[in-house]
Amino acid sequence: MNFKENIFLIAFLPIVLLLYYILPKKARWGVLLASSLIFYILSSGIFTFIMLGTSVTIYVAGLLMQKINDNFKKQKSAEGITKEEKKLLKKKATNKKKLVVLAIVIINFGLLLTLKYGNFFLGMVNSIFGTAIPPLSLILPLGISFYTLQAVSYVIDVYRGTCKADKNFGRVLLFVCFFPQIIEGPIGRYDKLAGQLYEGHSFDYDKFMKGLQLMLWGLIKIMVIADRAGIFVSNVFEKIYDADGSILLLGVLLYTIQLYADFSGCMDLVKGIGQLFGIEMADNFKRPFFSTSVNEFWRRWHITLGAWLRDYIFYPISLSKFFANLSAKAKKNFGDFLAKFLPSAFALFFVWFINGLWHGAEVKYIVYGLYYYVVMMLGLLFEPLFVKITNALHINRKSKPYFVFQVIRTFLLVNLGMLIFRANTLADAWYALCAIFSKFNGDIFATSILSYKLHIYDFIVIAIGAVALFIVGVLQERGHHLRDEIAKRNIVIRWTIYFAALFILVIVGAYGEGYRVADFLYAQF
Amino acid sequence: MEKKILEILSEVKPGVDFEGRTDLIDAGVLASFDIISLVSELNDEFDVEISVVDLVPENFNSVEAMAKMIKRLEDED
Amino acid sequence: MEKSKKLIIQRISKVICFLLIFTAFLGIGSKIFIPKKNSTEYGNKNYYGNSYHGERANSIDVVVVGNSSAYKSFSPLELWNKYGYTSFVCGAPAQKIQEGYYMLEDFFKEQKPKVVIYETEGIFNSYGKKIKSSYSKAKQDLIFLSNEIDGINATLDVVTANICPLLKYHNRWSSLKVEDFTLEPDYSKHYVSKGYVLTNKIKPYRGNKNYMQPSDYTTPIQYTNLCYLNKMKELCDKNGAEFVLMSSPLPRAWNDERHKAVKTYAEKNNIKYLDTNLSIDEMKIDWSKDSCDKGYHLNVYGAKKNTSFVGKYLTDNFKLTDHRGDKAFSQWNKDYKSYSKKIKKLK
Repeated sequence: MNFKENIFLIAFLPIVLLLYYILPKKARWGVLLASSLIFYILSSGIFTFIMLGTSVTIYVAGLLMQKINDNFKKQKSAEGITKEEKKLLKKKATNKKKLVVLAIVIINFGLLLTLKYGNFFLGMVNSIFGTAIPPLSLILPLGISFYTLQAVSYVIDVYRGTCKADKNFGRVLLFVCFFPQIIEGPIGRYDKLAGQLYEGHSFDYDKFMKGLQLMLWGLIKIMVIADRAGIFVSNVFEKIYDADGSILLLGVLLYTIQLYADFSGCMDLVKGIGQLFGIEMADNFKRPFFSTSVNEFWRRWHITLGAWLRDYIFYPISLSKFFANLSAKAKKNFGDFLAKFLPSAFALFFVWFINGLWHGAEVKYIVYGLYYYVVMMLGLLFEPLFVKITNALHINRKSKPYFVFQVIRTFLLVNLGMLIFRANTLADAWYALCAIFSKFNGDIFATSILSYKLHIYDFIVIAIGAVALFIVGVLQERGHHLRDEIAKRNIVIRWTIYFAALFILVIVGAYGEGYRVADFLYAQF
Repeated sequence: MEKKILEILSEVKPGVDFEGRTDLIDAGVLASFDIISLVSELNDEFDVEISVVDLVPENFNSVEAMAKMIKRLEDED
Repeated sequence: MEKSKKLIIQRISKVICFLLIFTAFLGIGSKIFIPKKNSTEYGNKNYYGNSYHGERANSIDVVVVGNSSAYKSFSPLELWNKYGYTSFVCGAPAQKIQEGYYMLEDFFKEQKPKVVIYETEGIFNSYGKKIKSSYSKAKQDLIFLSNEIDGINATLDVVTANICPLLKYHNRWSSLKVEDFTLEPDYSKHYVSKGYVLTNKIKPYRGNKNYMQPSDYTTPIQYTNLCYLNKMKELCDKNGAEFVLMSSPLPRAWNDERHKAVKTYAEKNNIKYLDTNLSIDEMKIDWSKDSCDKGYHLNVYGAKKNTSFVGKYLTDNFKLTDHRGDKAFSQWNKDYKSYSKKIKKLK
């Protein structure tokens, strides 16, 4: 079931909402749990047990760690215990807890690796050893890449003490499988989300309406812009060797627009659905195309994934003893700058490798991750040089033109990343990149732009849509809260805006005859 | 203590005025790798052990917050 | 207390107002966007399937409902020429069984057919992924489930589009004309081919000739499709027509696994079922000449043979009237003439 389909919007969601607000507050979380399970079973059938299994493991792990903690406290407060003994006990308890976390990580990531990457690794084994093991018939349970991260974060948070182990299995399960987030995130954290899910919210008219508005905005982004651009993009990337450089360039550009509109639109939809239940979910996008560097881009694009990798991969690795020593050694041998640079460079490698691999079981995704790693490292390495150059040229690094330059530079680098991401193979990506420069005949202005199943009107719609997204982005960058500001206007203006949005969705949306209901792009990861 | 922290900050990330700011993380002034070098400097300077749990925006958004965190860690020892 | 009550009433009336305006918009939009004439220039891509509006009322005895497998396999004018029965194909490309149902419902408003034939390919191919017998049981179940959801969704799509044509025709926004705002829909334009889509392309089918070889597996029929088959049967009963299932000769689309599924259903519900795939030799279908796309569909030569076979079946099983001598049906003779001319021209 897809959020933009009729079955969800006019059947599933209204029924769940009705039940949620009809039942007493105490039972409301039960509605969420039951509906989330139904949602899950409907899309994964018998394979729901894999998700249930993950939930059971993290639930048990949480309780185990709680028990270890309680035991430790009991022993600690025993009479006549010395400070040394206390320290020893603490170490013992920590080691035990570490073992639990390790087991959880191995079990759950093992599951993810097997199901998602099994055939990828098998293929590698076959090509290295010349064997011919046939590929496994594997099924990817809905949202496994997302909920595995979320589930593991719960265990690590309990280990770290940022949240307490939950004694109620239903609550843990709901945290893992809450239906709005299950398809493509946002990847939630237990301390922020679980409480909200469990608490029965009373009906808040204003919040509810705001949720509907956000959903509408998300649907427009997806159905008017992304689904339309997607038709052109998939046709271009299917036959890249026939296409002119200008078409390929447009294809990459439209893919960037498509992915942004689709993914951020889906997040608006998801957040809006959450708000209908009075639940605030984490932001996943913060106008990423206004970033001045690739590094900043990744803090504003798929925020919850970046945050997960930072908190559970990057920080632990770079704060480990091994790295502290490395950094000290580097300081002795290489001087300040490199001492600062090397440990981060090392830890970041893992972050980007995992980021790439997480997106899919293909070499191109790993290259995609490492591409950003290289760009970021080069940026860090050459930053002193950049400063010198701009100073020599008397360029004010805080001026507006320089800001615009940075934004465009970032945008181009991101588009290159998108090309790697979208092309069918690395060779295709490389070919397309070369062709953009070497085979550029400007066919885009000739009729061939229309040979990709999109009408000229469709391109106009996409262009207007992109400009609209840009304007909204600029306004939000300047601190405007558009939904609040619209809500303050009088009813004529307000309703004009709402109706206009609805009309645009119904009439210009790329659905129905001639447009297949496209899947959410990020749901396959 | 605040003064020393400011000194370390301007070493880690030159060219930024850190005084009085309360949005160092939220506004993206300090990126994650800045945090890492900052933490190792702070650990050395104040002889504390800032752990992963402490790496939340609330502890690094302002110089005052960092000082508060360090004091807390010193007390815990 | 008073105040909050007032607020609630105010809000409820606001919501109702909003919904009313929105409904009005959908209604007006539907009026504007619905194609005004039954032709491609007016935005009706499926003009041939809709062209029964251009036939004299209560003049058609046999109607075939289905997707491209129906309108490329069965040619009403061939049936007319050989048997004198009047027939029509209510089809659309990739027609869903739900769409077929609503089309038939509309058809009954103007016609009183004695026999309604549903082309069975639509039972399996209207949406969703194919279930292969080689898959593991768990994977089969999962695909079945996901197709079931798609089926419910498709039903909602079709029902909403049926209530509000704007949802179906909204893509015409870029080609709206002035007439769309002024004219009332009029679909009475007469077409010769009676829903049949003519192709004389030849692309031989070179696959397994014995594609109906027995299999242990029976393809499951989706629940939503079963529902609509039952609904179609009820609709026929209500209108005094006999409901018949028919599988056209399509080596790429048909096999024993599907045949058994339909046969079981037909026997259980006391419905006549004709699978022409079992009589390829009797029909004298030559796969090197009679397909237009390597076995997915028939061309006009194949359709001729198939239609004549179906005609024999109709003669054997039903009491249909030969209208060839009837003056009231002289239009059919004219239509047959222009149809044959068209075929000759193509050659």
